[in-house]
Amino acid sequence: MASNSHSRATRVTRRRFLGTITAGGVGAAASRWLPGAAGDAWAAAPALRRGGTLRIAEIGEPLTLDTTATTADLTSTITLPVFEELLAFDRSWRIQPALASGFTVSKDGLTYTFTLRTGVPFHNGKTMTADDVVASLNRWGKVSPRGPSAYQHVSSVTGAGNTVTVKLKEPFAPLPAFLALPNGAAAIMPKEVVDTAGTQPLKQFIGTGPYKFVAWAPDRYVHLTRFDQYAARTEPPDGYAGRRDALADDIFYYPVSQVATRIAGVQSGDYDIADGINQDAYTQLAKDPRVDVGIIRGSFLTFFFNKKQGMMANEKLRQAIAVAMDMQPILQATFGNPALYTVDASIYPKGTPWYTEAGAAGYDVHNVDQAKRLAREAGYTGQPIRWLTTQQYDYMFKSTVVASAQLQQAGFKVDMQVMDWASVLDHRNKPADWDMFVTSHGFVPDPALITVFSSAYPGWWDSPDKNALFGQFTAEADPAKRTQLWAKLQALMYREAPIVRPGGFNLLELSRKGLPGFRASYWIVPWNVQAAR
Amino acid sequence: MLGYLIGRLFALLPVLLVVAVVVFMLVHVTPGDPARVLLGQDATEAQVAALRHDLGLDRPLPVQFTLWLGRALRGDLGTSLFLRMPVSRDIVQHLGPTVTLSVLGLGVALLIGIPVGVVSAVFRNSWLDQLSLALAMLGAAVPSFWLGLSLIILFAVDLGWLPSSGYQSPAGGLWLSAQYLVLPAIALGLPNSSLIIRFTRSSLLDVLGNDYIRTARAKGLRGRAVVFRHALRNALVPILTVVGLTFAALMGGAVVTENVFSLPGIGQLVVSSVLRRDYPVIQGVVLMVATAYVVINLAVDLLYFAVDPRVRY
Amino acid sequence: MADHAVTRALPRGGRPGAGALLWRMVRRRRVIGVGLVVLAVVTLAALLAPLLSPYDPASLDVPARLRGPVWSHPFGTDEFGRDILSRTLFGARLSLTVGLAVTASATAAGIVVGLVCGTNPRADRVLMRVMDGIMAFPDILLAIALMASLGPSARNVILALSFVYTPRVARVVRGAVLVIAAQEYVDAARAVGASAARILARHVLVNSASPVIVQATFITAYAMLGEAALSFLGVGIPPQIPTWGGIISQGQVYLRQAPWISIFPGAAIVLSVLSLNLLGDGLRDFLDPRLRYT
Repeated sequence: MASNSHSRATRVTRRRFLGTITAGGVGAAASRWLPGAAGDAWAAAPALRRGGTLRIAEIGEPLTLDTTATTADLTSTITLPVFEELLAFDRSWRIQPALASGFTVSKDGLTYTFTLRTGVPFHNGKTMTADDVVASLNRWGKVSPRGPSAYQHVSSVTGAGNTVTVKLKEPFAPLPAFLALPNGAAAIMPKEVVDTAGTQPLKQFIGTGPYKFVAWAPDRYVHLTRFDQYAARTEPPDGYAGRRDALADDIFYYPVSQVATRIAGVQSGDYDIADGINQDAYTQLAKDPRVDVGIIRGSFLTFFFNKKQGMMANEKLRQAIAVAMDMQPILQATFGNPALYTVDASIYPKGTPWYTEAGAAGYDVHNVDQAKRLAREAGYTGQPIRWLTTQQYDYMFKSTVVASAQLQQAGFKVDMQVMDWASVLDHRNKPADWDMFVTSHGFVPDPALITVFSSAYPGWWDSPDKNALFGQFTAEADPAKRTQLWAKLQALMYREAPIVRPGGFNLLELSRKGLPGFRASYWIVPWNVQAAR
Repeated sequence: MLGYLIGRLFALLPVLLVVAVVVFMLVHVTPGDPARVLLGQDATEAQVAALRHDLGLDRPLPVQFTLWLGRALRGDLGTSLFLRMPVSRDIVQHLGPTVTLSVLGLGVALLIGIPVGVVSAVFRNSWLDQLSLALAMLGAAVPSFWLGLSLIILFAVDLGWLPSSGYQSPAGGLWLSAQYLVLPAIALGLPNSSLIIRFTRSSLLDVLGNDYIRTARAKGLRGRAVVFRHALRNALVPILTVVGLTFAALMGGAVVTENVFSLPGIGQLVVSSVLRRDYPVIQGVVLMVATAYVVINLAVDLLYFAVDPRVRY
Repeated sequence: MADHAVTRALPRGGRPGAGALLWRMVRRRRVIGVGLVVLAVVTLAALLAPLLSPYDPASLDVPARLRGPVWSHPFGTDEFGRDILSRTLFGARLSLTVGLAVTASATAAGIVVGLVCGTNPRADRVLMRVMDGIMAFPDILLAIALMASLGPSARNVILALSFVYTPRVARVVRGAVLVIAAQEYVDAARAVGASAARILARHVLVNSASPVIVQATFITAYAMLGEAALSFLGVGIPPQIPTWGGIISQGQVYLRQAPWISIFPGAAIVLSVLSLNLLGDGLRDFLDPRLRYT
């Protein structure tokens, strides 16, 4: 999810389910769980038929099915029905119980105690125990790209009976959000499987989910089938949380790398769902009687600066670049329809508790004179700005084209380096190789999960002000204080300009017209969906 | 003869060694790190380094090359970094669609090429001849991905006659499998029919100019009978040689076609392996393809020997 | 038939002027004329692109994106509001440059390798093995692998495609050298004391010219299609530079919504490749009737 590894277009369900987003972790971390408190009428779906096969066109071949070891969205999507975590997000991104029946936090915020559900079988027939959970969490702490940033605060993880206790060195309020996220996921697997894999990629894909892994035929499909012994929760389905009912007998994920082919496949009825639809197709697809277009809100575009080495270590020059850009044309050329992007300073969309206009004075300034003055003050004399981008993700390339044209007009020289994604990943980790790169960031329920604020993430935003403020933010447990600190963090981001954030955008998912039970979501939810016969 | 065969086999080794070295160098000087691709963009440096070590990518290149070559000589092409399965199994799984597609593409090329070629030879220099030659050339000039996407939009989306993309193994029913391959086969075969049209036409014209055809005509045989009973049969031999050439071209062209139609063939395997830097797979596939090419060439040479007793080495 | 024409046309003794030769070729095989005219138009368009283009091919006009053909944009605009006519005209420069540069370097390298192999048996053993090795790859696969390691740029596309097509020329030249070296008139030349270099230049090169020229026209056509395929697979010339292949592959996403993006540069490629093939066929018929297809 975080800065995409796999471009997708956006999604909000037709019910606009992000409309009531609350901060994951905010309410939950402070008090005891009230299972079943969430959920409302829409969840009471009409009785749907079981059987059939769900055919999903994905953007390509997954690199791995080890859901813990990568933050690639493609892997998260395909493994979503296979693996489960202790907690899960509902459609408002509130934290709900999943494999845990609930958890408590000590007053000092240093001890989290999770109570496990009993009698939950794994796909290999074994019943889940505290040992499995401890082993899975410990592997996650080492192997997951997200693990270390949480585990640096952890002093011990122990299991006894049906409880698992996580002790922290200092308060770390986002912990439940980390454990609920199905991306770089803290997925629970049998201890033997974890021990066999160690830090190496998984060889067996055994989880507790409603579907079990059958086969991965590379470049052909990933095949999942219903897990008959699945121990479902009883709450009404709600986002990723609640009851998961495996209606379709089988699910096939097909790698279809050309977006034109994915669209054509849903239109002709060869696929039920297609992921990663280019936003430019929206206007036409919205009129097409054969398909539904789902919109997922909350992603944002990012142009990262190299703050460790080279000209962009100079804050003035970064500000000059940010000031030179005009966001509207960048977003319009990249995402097409105005319904699919927002020119708004807030990182979080309107209607979420994290929404704030703090720092807006530094957003979308578009003042070429000011940009030229700042560049002069920064000592810029026309050195080429090396900007890494890729065509593998359409929006990355398009936004770079427009933004660099604007920079050229403001007197900057841009050396646009178009390469494949693997090369971008490689180069951007070498501070000597680049000045800017483009990527995007998906919706994350807690700002602590946003990679922009990580000092270790390429771009290396390591200023003392940021580190101090971010430390305060992750240690704070009080929701009201957290939102205030978040506003300060966002304002700091616009002031120090570690990135340029042109604006927010939506992702698109395509489905067969009236696919019963289907709602677009960031990672496709294939349970509770009635397949064609 | 046996000496010749042994000599030829030994001569293959340097070619394959050249291929192996070139491929290994090519793949490893490419920027990009499979460990980083695998972990995603949020991974820490320490995690990347650890995975590089686990995958053996931190060893010096000559060591990696020697290890790889040593195993390859014993028939072990290594394990895919991503799919975690033996490369040889990976190749075998992807071979089916490519071979099927190439054979069907060849079928399409012949089905169009030979009749059009015959018509254009029989009605030499008429407007029909000119038209078929023009169409043949036009077909060869259209970028194949463009043709493929247009076919999808027309026949799958608008008319709904055929599936848009994907692959069904023949094991699950020949008819179903064939439906998925019709459009790709046309997209691949059509551009390649032009060479066959021109070869058929020219070799038929050569034969039609021969004495025995004139004799046949003089004996009063009707035009059509002459063409089919005598001329075409004799013209087939040179046509067959061009079929071999076309088949090689089709295997190459399949890369683009597979990409457009999401067919899980060798071409897709190579393109996606290059994009994710799956070194063992790229090396294995290229070595395999090169070996196949060289061996087929040798087999064809030996076939001439068997067919034509005048050939002596 | 054409057989007699060749003995007259080939510059063995006195040389007819190039213009006269060309005229004779065109008159005898009209397709050559058609091919030449189309290529001349394309070349002119490429040369005069800055004068003919109504817009800067790189200038963006986002509000005017994805417009169909109108008076102000006769070929329409792309997803950035760039003028397709201007991009197609400038694309002619790059596509022609790639085609011609690949042909020139592959032919030059092929001639050198072919001559060396044809005259030096020891080098032949090594070099032809290498050539066989290169030929053993399907050409587009090899080009993809090369592009991945070289990185995307026009120069690298030219390098990669030249590398791929060099062995074809080398084979043709080597074959010609071996055949010609066995001819009596070469022995005769040697007997009267002509140096090896003189023999090579005077007899071998001149007499292998026709298959090489024919091969060259086809390589130009292959290179133009190859460039397009590489762009489509995302490993070609950087997409901000307009090439026909690049414009078409960017436009394929909009094939439904804005077909004009890919239709016009597509037509340009088809026409150019078509006329190159016509030219190649015509030349082959004219220069070497033994290889003729008509």
